[in-house]
Amino acid sequence: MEFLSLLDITFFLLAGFGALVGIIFGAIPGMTATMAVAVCLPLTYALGLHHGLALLLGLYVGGISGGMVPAVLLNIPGTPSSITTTFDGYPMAQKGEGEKALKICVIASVVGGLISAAILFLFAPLLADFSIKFSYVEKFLIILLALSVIASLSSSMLIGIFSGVIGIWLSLIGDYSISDGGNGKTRLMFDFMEPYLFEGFSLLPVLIGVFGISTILLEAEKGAKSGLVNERIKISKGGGFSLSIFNGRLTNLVRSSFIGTFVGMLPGVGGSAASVLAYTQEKNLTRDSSQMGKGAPQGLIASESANNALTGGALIPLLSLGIPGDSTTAVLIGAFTLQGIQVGPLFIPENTETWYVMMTALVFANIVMFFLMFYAIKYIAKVVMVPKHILFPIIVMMCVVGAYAINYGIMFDVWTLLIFGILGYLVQKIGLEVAPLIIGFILGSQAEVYFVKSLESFGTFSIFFTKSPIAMVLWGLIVASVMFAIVMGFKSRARQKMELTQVTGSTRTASGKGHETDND
Amino acid sequence: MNNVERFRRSALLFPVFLLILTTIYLAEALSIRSQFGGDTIVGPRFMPILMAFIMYAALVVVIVGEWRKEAEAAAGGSLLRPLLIVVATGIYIAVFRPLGYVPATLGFLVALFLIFDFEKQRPALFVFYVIAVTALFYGLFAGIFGVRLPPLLGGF
Repeated sequence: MEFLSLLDITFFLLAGFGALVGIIFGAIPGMTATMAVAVCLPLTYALGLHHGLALLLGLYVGGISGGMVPAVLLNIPGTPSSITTTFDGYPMAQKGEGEKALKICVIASVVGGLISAAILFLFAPLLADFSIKFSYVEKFLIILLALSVIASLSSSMLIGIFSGVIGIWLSLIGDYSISDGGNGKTRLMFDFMEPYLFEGFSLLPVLIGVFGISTILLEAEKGAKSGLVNERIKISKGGGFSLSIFNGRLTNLVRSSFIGTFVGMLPGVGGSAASVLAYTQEKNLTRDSSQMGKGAPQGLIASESANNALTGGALIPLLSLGIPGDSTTAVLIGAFTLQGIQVGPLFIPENTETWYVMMTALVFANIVMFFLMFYAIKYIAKVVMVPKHILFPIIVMMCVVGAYAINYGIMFDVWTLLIFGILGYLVQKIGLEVAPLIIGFILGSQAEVYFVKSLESFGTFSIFFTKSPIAMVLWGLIVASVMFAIVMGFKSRARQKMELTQVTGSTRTASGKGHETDND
Repeated sequence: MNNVERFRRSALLFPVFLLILTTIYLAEALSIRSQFGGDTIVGPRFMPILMAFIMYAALVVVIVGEWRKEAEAAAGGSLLRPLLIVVATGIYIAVFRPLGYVPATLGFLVALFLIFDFEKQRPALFVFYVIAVTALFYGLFAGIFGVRLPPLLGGF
């Protein structure tokens, strides 16, 4: 219980403040939880690890939750994870039940967040304990599994591979030390770059560039005003909310929370996948799905409990294996790096106090989010109208000054921020994905070290298949994830072909009728 | 649509760019030498070479696929604003240390507010926001978080 001494008033204030700022980021369309965490990352340098984690976890929980506000009121998902909230939230808002819809979302969110925190608390230490015994072979295979899952669950497997490989490429730039099985020389760069890139690109400016600057560049393309100025918020005065709405829907609530937690554990899979999966499950399993998509509370419950459950789920592989579960937890690695702490199997046993502090911050952030959003939803709803043309310049400026601040004013880090901001923008412009790229960047160099050390230790490639039953199970999972992607690819292609045939058929019929009419 | 036009309009440009980049990367990877003579498969060049071959395989699939399918019309937004932001940020970074935080940030915010069409019609408010934001973040970074921001003209 020594960790209790670390929980001072500043800690709770920072977690609460983080949740509030996160809600604001999430509620503004185009700004995400990941961006909130990335932009505020440099601030944690001065705060120290525990206070910094309180702020970042508050931002994470608030950012995921805030997305429900524009989803319900404007039919625009504030974050990708609230896409399915628009299906039933907006129809309810149009019927004058905006406040009721938001309150349902808030309760579903807090339940999802707390269930996932409980699963994290119980499961992460067990997984970490289990993975401590892993040799280099299993560690390499775990990373290979993570990368194959990311590639499989991307919009297309090829896109996932491209994005991941570009990330791994970039991670291999720099010195490859002899202790890691290398030759002690720099590689994959021109000679004049050696003074700057001896240790490769610094992680923090890379994260801030990809998730901060590139997002602003993408949003700037659309125009800062983007039509929201003319929108009117319909939140309604009529309450109509009571807890009885959840009667008979607890199974949905718990199931969706578990789905969200599980999806969160899969590396690189975003909240949109969690909420879509939970929504689809509810639609398939409920007795009466006829109202779903037209303003049914069970749709909101499924969507919001799943996307908030992502938070705890995504932290499980991060804290037990060192593998980020999503983009935001990838940015959280930056906070640990900033404080000189490595996440992985030894993190929980060696940093028990930090582990309890994180759990406290996560639970507290969920509770603050609940009170803020449940009782002040009318005021928070107005955040969606905050003009972006003042926020965007401030965010860009914060990113630049933040990148300057984190490594004692190294200007190359600030240029790295801009380079990766542009790279992140271009990558997304051409349809690639930043989550696999960043996870490839974080895990790439580790994968190489584990691979080379495995071969150095055992001297044969067959060791990757025969080292242990765990290795065989991991190969089975890798093959299953690749097969899943191939089958889904075939299915999607077949569906597209069928839709194309139907469209062509109906066009022909229409033009045939047109000709007949002309002839008549 | 002829092939040249298809190439110009379609998504082929980037895969071809990546193909060239992969070749340069592979050439560089092949020139990496191991610390102790004999180039066994285990060494500092294995992973880069492996990544290059995975990239080649994926690129072949994409290029063949893109060549076969009809090019789709690209939905467009204005590229001017992102470009201006990148240029302004580049200049800001370049002058950040020589000029110091205050003048560099004032200039940067003026540029960004103009790019985002913020309060152009009300110059007094425009100037107020520029100064207020610069001062606020100076207070936040230097005052609260103790970051040593570059002083005016690198001096005082």
